Amino acid sequence: MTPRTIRRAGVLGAALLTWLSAGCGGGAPETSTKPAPSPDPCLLPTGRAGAPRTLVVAVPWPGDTAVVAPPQPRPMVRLDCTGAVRPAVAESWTRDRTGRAWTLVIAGAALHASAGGAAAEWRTRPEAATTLRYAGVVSVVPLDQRRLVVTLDRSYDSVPRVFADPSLALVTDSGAAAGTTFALRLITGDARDALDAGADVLTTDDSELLEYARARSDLVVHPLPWSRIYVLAVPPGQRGFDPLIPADSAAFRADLARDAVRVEARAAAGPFWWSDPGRCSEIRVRATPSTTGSRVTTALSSDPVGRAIAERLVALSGQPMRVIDGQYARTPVTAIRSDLGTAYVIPVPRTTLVPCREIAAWPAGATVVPLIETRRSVVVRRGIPPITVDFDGRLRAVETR
Amino acid sequence: MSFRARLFLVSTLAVLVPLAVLAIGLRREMDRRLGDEGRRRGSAAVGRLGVELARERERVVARLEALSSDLAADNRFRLGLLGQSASRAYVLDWAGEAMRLSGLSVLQVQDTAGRIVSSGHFRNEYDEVRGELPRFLAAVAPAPALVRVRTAEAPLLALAAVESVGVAGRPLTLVGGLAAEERFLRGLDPDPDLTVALAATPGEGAVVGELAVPFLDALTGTADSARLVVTQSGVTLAALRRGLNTWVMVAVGVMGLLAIILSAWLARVVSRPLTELADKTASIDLDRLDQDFATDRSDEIGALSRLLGEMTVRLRRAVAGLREAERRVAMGDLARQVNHDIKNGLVPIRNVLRHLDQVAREEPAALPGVFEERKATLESSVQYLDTLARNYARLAPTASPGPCDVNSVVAEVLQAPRAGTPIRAQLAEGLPSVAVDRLMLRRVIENLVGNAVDAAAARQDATVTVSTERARRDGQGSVVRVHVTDTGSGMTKAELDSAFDDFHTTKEGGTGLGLSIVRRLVLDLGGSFRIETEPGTGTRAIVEIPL
Repeated sequence: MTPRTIRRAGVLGAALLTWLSAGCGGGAPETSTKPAPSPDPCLLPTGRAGAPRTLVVAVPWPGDTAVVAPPQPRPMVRLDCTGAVRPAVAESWTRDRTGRAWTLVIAGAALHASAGGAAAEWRTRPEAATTLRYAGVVSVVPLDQRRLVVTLDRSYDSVPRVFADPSLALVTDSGAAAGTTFALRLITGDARDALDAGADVLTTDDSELLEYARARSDLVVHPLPWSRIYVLAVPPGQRGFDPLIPADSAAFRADLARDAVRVEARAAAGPFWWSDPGRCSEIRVRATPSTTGSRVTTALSSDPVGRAIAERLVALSGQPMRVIDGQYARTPVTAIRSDLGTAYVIPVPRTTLVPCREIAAWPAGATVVPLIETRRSVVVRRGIPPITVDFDGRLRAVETR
Repeated sequence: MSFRARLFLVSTLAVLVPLAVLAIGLRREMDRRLGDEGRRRGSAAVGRLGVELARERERVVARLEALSSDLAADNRFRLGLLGQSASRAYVLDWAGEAMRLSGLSVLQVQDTAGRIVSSGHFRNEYDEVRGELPRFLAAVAPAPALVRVRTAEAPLLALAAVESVGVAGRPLTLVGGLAAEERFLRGLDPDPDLTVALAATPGEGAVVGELAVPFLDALTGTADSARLVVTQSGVTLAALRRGLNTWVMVAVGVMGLLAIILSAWLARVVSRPLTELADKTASIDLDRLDQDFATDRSDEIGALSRLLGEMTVRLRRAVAGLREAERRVAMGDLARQVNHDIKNGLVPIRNVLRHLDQVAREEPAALPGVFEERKATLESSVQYLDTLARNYARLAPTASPGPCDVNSVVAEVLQAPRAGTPIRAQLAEGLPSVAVDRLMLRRVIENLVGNAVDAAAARQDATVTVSTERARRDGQGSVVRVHVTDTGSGMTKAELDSAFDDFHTTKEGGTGLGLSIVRRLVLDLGGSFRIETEPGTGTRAIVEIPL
C-alpha cells in the first residue's frame, strides 16, 4: 500500500469512527472545551494602552521572524507564554471519550477558512503532512463547513498542542488584519540608537541595552519566557567531555549560567522534550558517521552565548575551539551532521510542539547534554497598543475584533 | 664545412660569447654587491629591532601602569574581588573592557596564587591557574619578552610585560601585551625591503640578521628564547635580475642579429674573391692560360691574384717554349711525314718517268700514246703533291711581322663573298696598328668567322658579329681585342675542352685543324685566345693582340 492509500484508509476509518461515536450514540459523551474568557497573563505591561497602530519593531537582521508572530497565516490554536491553549482559527474544540478524536470548530470570523479547506491543505502541504505524521495524527476529516475531526494515535487529556504548530497555520483573511500591525526596522548600529529613533519594540539579551532602557521612563522592560536551552551535542562515538561534565552537574551548570555568559541565564532543568525518544521509536532516524578526527569544540559564530559557553569548556578542558560559520551557523543540526568537531554547543528551543519531528533530525545515538537556558527581554514603549507573548517568546498584537 | 660557413660561425661566436660572459659577470657582481648590502642593512635592522622591541615593551608597561592605577581605584572591581556576587560579572569582564580601551591584545589579572581573576583575550579562562606567565615576565624584565598565550580559538603570540597592583589588600599582577603578529613585527623596522618574522615562520628571502628574545610558551609552560629573523625581500633582487636579464637578452638579440648580418656580409666579402680566384685557377690548363687575374685590390687577395697572374704569364711563356719545342719536334715528324708523303707522291711520277724513259728508249713511237696513257697518273700525283703542299702550308705558316691594321684585315675578310648568315661589323675607330703577320692574322679571323657562320647556320635568327676594341690588361699593357660572336648553338664544356685538339671536328668535311691552328697562330702572334660559350646561346671568340 502506498502512503496515500494508507492515508485514505485511515481517513475512512476515522470518518466511520466519528460517525459511530457522534451519530449513533454508541460512544461516551464528548467533552467540550470552551475557553473561558480570562485576563491574559501574557499581556505586556505598557501602561495605558493606546489605539491600534503600526508598531516599529527593531530587528537585528532583515526578515527576522523570531520577534513578532506574523498576522497571517494563523495557527489553529495559540499557546500563550504560560503554555495555555487559546483560540485562534479554531474558536472551540471537543474530544471524544477516548481522547483520541478531537473536533475543532473553525471560528465564524475566520474568513476564507473552512474545515474542508483545512483538511485538504494539511494533506497536500508537505510541511503540514510531515507535522501530522510525526504528531501521530491518524486522520483528518471535515464533518461540515466548520467542524474538523482529527484522530490521533494516542489519547490526550487536553487539546493537542500540535494544533498550535505554525506548519498547520491557515490563511484566514485576504486583506490586512484590522488593528495593530508590526513594521520591522533594521538595526544598523547601536541598538540604543534604534530606541532613541523611536522604535516601539525591541527584544534583546544585551544587559547594557536593558540597563539603558530601564533608565528611561518612556520604555518598559519585560522578560520573555525562557526560550532557549544551550546543549552540548556530542555525536556518536565521542566522549571527550564526559569527565568535565559530571552526571550531577547542577552546580557546574549554575556556575556556567552565572559567570560564563553575559545574558540572563540559569541552569537548564528538565524534563526536556528530547528525554522521551521512545515515543518516537517508530520513526526511522538517519545515522551519522563516527567522528575520529581532532578534538574540537564548536560553537556557532552568530551566537555569542554559545561561543561563551564553548570558550569556558575549552578553558577547562584544554581542547581547541572552532567557530562554525556560513550556512551551518543557522542550522545547528546540520552543523552536527557536518562532522566538523567532537562536540557542539548549540541552542535548541526550550519548547517544541512536535518533539518527534525535531528528534528525527538529530543524528541517531547523539548525546545531548543540557547546560543552561536563557531568555530575552522585550523593550516596549509606554502607551503602545496591547501586545501579548506567545509560548515561543514571539510578540503578537492583541486582536480587537 | 665551407670556409664561408666557418667564417660566419666564428664571427658570430666572437660577438656572442663575450657578450654572454659580460652578462654572467654583471649578474654575479650584482648578486655579490646586493648580498653585501643586504647583510649590512640586516645588521643595522637587528640593532633597530632591539631598540624598537624595548620601546614597544615600554609602551605596554606604560599602559599597564595606567590600568593599575585605574584598577586600584575601581570600587566595583574591589567589591567583586571581595565576593559580592553582583559585581562578579564586572570583575570577569573588566580585563576585556580594559584591553579594548587600552589597545592591548593581551590582558590578564592574576592573584598571588596565579589564579586568573579576569582575562581579556580569553574571558572564560577565569579561575584557571597560570602563574608561570607573570613569573617569567618578572624574571626577564626589563628585557622585552615574547609569550604565547591561550585564546579560545588559537594561540596568540604577544610582546608582554607584567605590572603589580594592590586591590583591597590583595596583591594582583597585570600581564599585558601587544600581539606580535606579522604586521606588528613588520612595523618594527621601516625598511621596506626587510621582513621581521619568527624563526618558525621566516619570510621569503635571504636571512640577513637574527635577534634572540626571551620566550615563554604558556600553553606548555616552556621557557626558551625565540629567534626573530630579519630577511631581505627577494623582490628587489628579483626585479633587478629581471631587468638585467631583459636588457641582456635584448642586447644579445640585437647583437646576435647584427653579428649574423655582419658575419654573413663579411664571409661573403672575404670568400667571394677567393672563390673567383679558385674558379679561374680551376680553369687553367696548358691549353688555357689566358685567364685574367688582373685586380685593383691592394690586400693579400690582390697580391695572390697578381701572383697567379704572373704565374699564368710564366706558364704561358713556358708553354710557348714548350709549343716551340713541340713544334720543332712536330716539324721533325712533319719533315719525316712530308718526306714520306712526297715520296709517296713522287713514286708514281718516278715510275711514270722510268716507264716513259724506257718507252722512249725501246719504243719511241709509242711514247706519245704511253704518255697520254700515263699522263693522268702524273697529274694525279702532282695534284696530290699540290694538295699536300697546301695542307702543310696551313700547318706551318711562315711569319712576316709588320704593322697591321686589324680593322682593315677584318674588313678584307668580311668583303669576301660568303653564303649563309650575314655578318655585322662593329669596328672601333682609331684602333692602333699591331705588329703581326698580316696573313696570319687574316687566317685567324677567317677561321673564326667561318666557324661562327657555320655555327649560326643551325638557327635561322642567329647573327654573327665581329667587333674590335682597344683594351688594357693589367701587367700586360694595352691590347687590341677582336670579338667574333655568334648566336648559334654554342658548345658544351666537353665540346669546348676538345675543340682545340688537332683533327677534332664536328662538321662534315672539316679538317679538325681550325681552332688548333687559330690558337697556335695567335700564340705565334704573341697574343691570347679564349672562347666563351654557352649551349643554346652562342659563342664568343676573343683574340687579344698586344700593342
